[in-house]
Amino acid sequence: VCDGVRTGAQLSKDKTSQGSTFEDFVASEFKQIVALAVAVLRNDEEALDVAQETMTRTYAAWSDVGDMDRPGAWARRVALNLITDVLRRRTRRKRLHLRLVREKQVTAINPSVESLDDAFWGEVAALPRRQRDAIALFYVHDLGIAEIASIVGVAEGTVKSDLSRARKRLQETFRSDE
Amino acid sequence: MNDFEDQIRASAERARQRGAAVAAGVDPMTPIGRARSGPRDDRNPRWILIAGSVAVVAAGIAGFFIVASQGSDVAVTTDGAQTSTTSLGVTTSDSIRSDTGDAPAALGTEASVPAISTSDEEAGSPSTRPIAASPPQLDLVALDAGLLTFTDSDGLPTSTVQLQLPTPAFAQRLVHYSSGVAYVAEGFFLYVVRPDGPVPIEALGPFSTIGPVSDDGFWRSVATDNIDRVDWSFQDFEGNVGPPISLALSEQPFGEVSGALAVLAREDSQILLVTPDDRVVLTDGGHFPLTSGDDTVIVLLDGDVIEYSPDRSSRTLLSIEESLGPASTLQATAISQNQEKMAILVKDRQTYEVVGLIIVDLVNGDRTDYPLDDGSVVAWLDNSRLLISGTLSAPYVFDPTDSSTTQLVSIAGQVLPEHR
Repeated sequence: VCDGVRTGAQLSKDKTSQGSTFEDFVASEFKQIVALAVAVLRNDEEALDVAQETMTRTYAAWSDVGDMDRPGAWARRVALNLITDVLRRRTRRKRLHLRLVREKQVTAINPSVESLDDAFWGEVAALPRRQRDAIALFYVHDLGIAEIASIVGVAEGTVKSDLSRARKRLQETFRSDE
Repeated sequence: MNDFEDQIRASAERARQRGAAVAAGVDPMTPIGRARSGPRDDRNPRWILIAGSVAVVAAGIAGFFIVASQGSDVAVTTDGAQTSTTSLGVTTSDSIRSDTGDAPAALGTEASVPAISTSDEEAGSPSTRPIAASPPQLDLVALDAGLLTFTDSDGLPTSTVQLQLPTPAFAQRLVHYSSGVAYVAEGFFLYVVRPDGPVPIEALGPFSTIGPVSDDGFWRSVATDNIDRVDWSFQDFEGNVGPPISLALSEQPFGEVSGALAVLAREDSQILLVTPDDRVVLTDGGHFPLTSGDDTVIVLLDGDVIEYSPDRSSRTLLSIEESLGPASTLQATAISQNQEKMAILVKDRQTYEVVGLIIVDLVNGDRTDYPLDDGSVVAWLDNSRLLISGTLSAPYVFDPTDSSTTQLVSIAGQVLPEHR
C-alpha cells in the first residue's frame, strides 16, 4: 500500500547527484558545525542544539541542498543564523539579569586558559554579525576568503575588511584589559 | 604572524578540539522516540522526525492515500476532518486522540509521525512551512486540582506529581515550564516541580501577586507598610530577587519591555516603563495596553492598534472596528514567537466573560474572529498554532490557518507549553 512512501531512513541513504548521502553529510559536517557553535557560544548544550537544528533544516531541504556543489557551505550559513538567534536570546536574558545583579562586579583571578578562551570568544560573539561570522569561519573552520564570502554572501573585499576590523577591535579589547 | 594571531589560532584549535569532544558524545543518526520519563537532557536528533514528515508530505503530493492496515493512525479533529499518517519506523507516543473517547495508546507504540512546522526567517534556511494541523511539538504541563501532569510533545502524560490541594485561601497558579521543570505558585510558596517531586520555596510574601513572567523569572509584588503602595521585584527561577520598584496600587504591570516593567497607571491614563532607577512615560492619554513584546508595547487608542518603542516612537499596526466595544473588554494575551501575530481575547460587554478570540496579523493587518469559551487561556505553541485551555473544556490545539482543533483529552486544568 505504501510503496510510494519513503521512510526517513531510506531518504537519508539516497544518493544525490554529487554521489553522497545525507548520512555521509552528517558524518563529515556534524562535528564541524558543533565546533563552530562551541567556539562562538561557549556552551556545549546550545552548540549541540544549533548543530542538530542545522542538520534538521538541512535534511528538510536535502533534495535541493544535497545537489549543491558545497552543501556544507549551505549548512554553515544556517548554523550561523541559528547562532545569531541564540545570541539574541542571550541578550534578552542579559537585560533581565541586570535587574538582579546590577551592582555585582565579577573579577577573574588567575584566569585559566579556558576562561581566557571564554573571554576571547565572548568578545567575538559581541562583534557585529558579519565580523563575527568571518572570524569564526576563518579561524575555526580554516576557510579561505573566497569561501567565507560565498557563505556570508558578501564580496571578498568585504570579508577582508571585516576580518581586519574584527582583529583590530579584538586586539584593542585585550590590550586594554592587560 | 604576531603573538595575537597565534593566540587566536591556538584558541580556535582548542574550540575545534572541544567541539569534537562534544560531538563525540552524541550520535546524530540515532532515531528519536524514546518514552520520555527521564531528564530532559536527552538529545533527540530531530532531523529524523523531519524525515518522517517529509516522507508523509512527499507521499501526499504523489497522491497516495495512506491507509495501511498496520502501523497507521487516524487522528480525528473536532471539526470532523480526518488526517491519516503512516508509521515510518519512528517510534513516538501515540497521544492526541479524537474526541470520540479513545483511550490513549501506550507509550512507545509505533504510531503516526507528527507533522512539523518550522519557521525560517533568514536567508540560508530552507523554505519549509507548516504542513498541517498537528499535535504540539512542545512538551506540556497541566495543573488540575493539585495534580501536576507532565506530558510528552503529543500531550500524553509521562509522569504526574501530586501537590498539596490548593487551600481555600490561595489559588495555585502554573507560572512557567522550561527545561522539564514546572513552577507553581501558591500562597507564600513557589513550588519547583520536577517529575520526581516538588520542592517548595518560601519565595512569596503575604498578598503577593505574580505579574509578568519571562524566560528566566517573573515579577511579583510584596505588600509594604504603606498600604497605598506595593513593591514589585523581578525574581528569577533560582530564587534571586532584584531591587524593588515601588508602585501605587493603581499602577498595574502588564509586561516587560527591554528589562523595564511596563505599567498602566490608571489614575493618570499613562503607560510607563519603570525600572528601580527610572520612570519613563511612554504614552499619555487614554491608551489601553494590549500586550508587550521584547522591545515594544502594543496599545489600543480609538480603535487603532499602535506599537510603541521604548524611545516613544510609534507606528499604527491596524484599526480595530469600534464594534468590538470598549477597550476594557479586550485583552491581548500573547504575541507569537516571531512577533508577527497577536491573540486578543474579547469579553462580553455586560458580563465580562470571554466570548471570542481575535487573531491579528501584525504584518499585514489581517484580522480573524473566532468564538471562544469563557475562562479560556491562550498560549502560542509556535508561530501559527495556539494552545487553548480553560475551565469548561479539555485543552486543545487550535490552528487558525484552517480553523482545525485537536483536543488533548488526557489533561485538564491550567496548561502551559514548555518554554523554548
